[in-house]
Amino acid sequence: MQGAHSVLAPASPQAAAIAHLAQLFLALAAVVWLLVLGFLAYSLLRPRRLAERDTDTRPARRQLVGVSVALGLSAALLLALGFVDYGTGRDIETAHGNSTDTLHIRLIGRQWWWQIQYEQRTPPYRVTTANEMHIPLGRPILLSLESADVIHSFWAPNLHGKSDLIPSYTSAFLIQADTPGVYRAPCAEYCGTQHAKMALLIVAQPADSFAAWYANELRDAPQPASAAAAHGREVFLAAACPLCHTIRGTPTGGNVAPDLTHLATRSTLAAGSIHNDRIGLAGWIANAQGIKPGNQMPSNLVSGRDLDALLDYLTTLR
Amino acid sequence: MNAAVAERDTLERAWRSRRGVVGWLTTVDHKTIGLRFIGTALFFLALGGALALLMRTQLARPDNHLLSPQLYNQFFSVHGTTMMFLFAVPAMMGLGVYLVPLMIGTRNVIFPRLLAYAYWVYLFGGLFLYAGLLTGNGAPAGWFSYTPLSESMFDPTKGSDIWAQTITYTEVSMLGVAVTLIITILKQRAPGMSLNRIPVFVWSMLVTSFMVVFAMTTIATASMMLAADRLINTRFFVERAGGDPLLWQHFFWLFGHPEVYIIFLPATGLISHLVTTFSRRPVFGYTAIVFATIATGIISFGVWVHHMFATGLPQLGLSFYTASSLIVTIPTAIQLFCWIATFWSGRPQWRVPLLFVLGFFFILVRGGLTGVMLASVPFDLQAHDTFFVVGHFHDVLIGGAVFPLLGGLFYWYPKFTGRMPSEIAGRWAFALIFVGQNLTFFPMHILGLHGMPRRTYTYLASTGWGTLNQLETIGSYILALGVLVTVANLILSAFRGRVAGDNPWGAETLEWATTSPPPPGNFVLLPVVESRAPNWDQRPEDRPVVTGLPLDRREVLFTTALDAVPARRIELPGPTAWTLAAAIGTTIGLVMLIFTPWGLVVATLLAAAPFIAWAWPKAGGSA
Repeated sequence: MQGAHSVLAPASPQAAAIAHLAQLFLALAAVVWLLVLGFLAYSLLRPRRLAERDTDTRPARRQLVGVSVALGLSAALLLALGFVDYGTGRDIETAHGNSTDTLHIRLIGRQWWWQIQYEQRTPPYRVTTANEMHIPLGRPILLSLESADVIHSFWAPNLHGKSDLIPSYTSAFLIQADTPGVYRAPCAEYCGTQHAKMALLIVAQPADSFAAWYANELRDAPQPASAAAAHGREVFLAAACPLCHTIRGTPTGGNVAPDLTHLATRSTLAAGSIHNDRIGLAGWIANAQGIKPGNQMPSNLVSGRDLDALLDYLTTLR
Repeated sequence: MNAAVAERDTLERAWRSRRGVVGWLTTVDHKTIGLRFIGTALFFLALGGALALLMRTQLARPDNHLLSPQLYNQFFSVHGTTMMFLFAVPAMMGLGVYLVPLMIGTRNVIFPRLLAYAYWVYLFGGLFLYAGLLTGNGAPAGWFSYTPLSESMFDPTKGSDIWAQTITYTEVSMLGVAVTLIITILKQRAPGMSLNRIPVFVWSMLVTSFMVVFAMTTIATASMMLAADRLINTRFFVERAGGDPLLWQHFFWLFGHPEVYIIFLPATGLISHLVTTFSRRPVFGYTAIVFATIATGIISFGVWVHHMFATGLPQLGLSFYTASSLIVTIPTAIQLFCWIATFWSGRPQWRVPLLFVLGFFFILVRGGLTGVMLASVPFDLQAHDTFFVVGHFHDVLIGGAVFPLLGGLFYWYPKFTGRMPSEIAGRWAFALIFVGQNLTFFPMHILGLHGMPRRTYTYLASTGWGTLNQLETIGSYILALGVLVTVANLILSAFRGRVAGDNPWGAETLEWATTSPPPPGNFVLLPVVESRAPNWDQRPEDRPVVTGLPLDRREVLFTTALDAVPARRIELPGPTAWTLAAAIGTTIGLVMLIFTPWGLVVATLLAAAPFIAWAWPKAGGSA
């Protein structure tokens, strides 16, 4: 829900280089635009002397000089822009922190949400979450971009440009955040019905709070602390939920919908569409098709007292 | 005097269409067919515009529920497809079909029946797309139909099938028009109209037609491959089966970027005429403008990858496309500077077409400059697929093509109808369209840089995008009002307008050297050309004419391609119903093809018989 998403408010060296280029381009474009329109206006409105007749050859010479000069300047400007563009490209490639300290994250685009996997060498080997990606400040993040269905595009305007997620291709994309904050990354390639509601939140935080978050993610879901929550877990397991979702620490293993192990730590639901609180969650479970029509989650799978119990359980998954 | 009247009667008898409904269905007169292309294109403009207004209304405020996501997605897909395939290209080609034979001084195009067939195929193809939308099978995958989203696995409806078939139809149609125009321009110019005397608009149509031949065959091939993927599981673009979804993107943009220039070059061609007429000066730098047109046509085939910068292609390869995308602006700059230079020495006439030329400058130059920015890989990676790009290409297409087209329609309207359009209504229309365009599309650049992605049916209130979106929606209503005023002007002036006369604007080229509207057969006596500006350099009574061509038969003069020296006489075919029959046969087959491969067999049989009948030689004459 919240989160910054502007090209002109960079939070990384890459985005800063591009924002700088964009400002230069916009300023030059404005000048060129005004010059062309200015010359056009003068050509139309300049005072004309009666002496200027068709037989006069001086205008032709002036026109030729004018057009040639304008053309020369245009070509020179384009050439200069080409070099500036190339330089910016080089800056982006080299502008990141110590690359021996790179964090690898696998980002998988799905209709219409984001699956995020942190790979590691020790059990549980892989930490899976969804729609909210935490990253440590100042460290290069190497994203491995994949798609499970159609083409999506990863785009966090405050951090970098776009990189597509194409089925059967895996592409690597290096990002970094130097300013703490929550950045919004809306899917930037049309990917079907709910392309509009497919945003990833990127939480850029200092190394210690990232480490704390990560340590929590490594753990299985907490055991229910109350009778209501325990009943809620039974509701979850008995309903259709586990066919698609996983809560680590319970006998569930669905992999086609977001991992819910630490659901309550996330700030949004439905890929950045609504607030993740008890009301938002209740609305989503009861009316997923009304909030995000066409998405894979059916409405009204659980209702009444069961829903209350389920909410008691899910809101404790911290 | 009586001899002249008799000549005119003889000519009309030989060239006129049949009477009544039969005549309406069988005509092969390029003027009638050209106007039909233009009229039908404007009809599709209205439909595509209505879809745009609905989308703008949906986006007027955050979390709006006017349109469902499914409907919104179909609307933007059909809107884009309509504007590119059913409006812009056919409108420009239609203007070419009407004007080219008049501008080069001939009686009809070389393949008039192919032209008639092309029109029917275009009409049926366009209606088919809307039949899909109305039956809940609107194209759901965008005007670009990226695979795998458009493959049957992700689009189980008939939407993408209908889209693919519409593309195939309309490209078959445009190929027919392009081939007709190329041969007509190369072989049927008035004696004396050597290459260096061809009007700039005719040059632009020649270059455009060649581009159509290459670009449209590319997309028609790709659309047939997509249709085959969906119908008979060929898997050209399915990665699991060894195909490649990126292959589709290469095909699509190898067509898609030249497409922009296929729309833009005719517009620059007609701008040269408007600039000339309304500054009372021959256009400055004729040769430079012609070479710029040709250069644009060639370079435009080398820039397509700038639509694919985010797909992860190797960096070095991308630099090549940055360079070519920067270079392609140079020829357009040449044209812009030459027009300014023409104004500089000219005496501007402040009539409605000139206003549209100025609107063209204001908006197209802005769109061109944002286009230069998008050539840069780092900048494009930020702006790509955002509203910045939507703002950019609506600047280029509305500023660069619709403004010239509207100015051109106003300018040639007296030739089409014999009556003048209303100057006051024209000024109002211009003002509304100009204000509406800027209000609608300029804020989109800002929205894009603030993170608003394209093709989104709604957005959250917390994004802060609401105010600018509301402004854009208001702008789009103003723009639509301006288009309505234009259409009303074009319709009412046909009845109420002042009678125009042959050459109401005092223009230089040959289409103004005949009556308004021109008679069947165009010119009673075919002109001979001795300069680039026949109407300015000679009084009508001094103009030399072609003699020795019979008036009682559909004969035209073939001249040599370079110097337009008379070579031989050719008899052209007359009205026939077989073209319509062939188009109906083609259509039945193409509609069937979305359900069963047998459609191909049916299309071949149903279209082949009329094709043979229409080409059957007349006893003692050519076909």
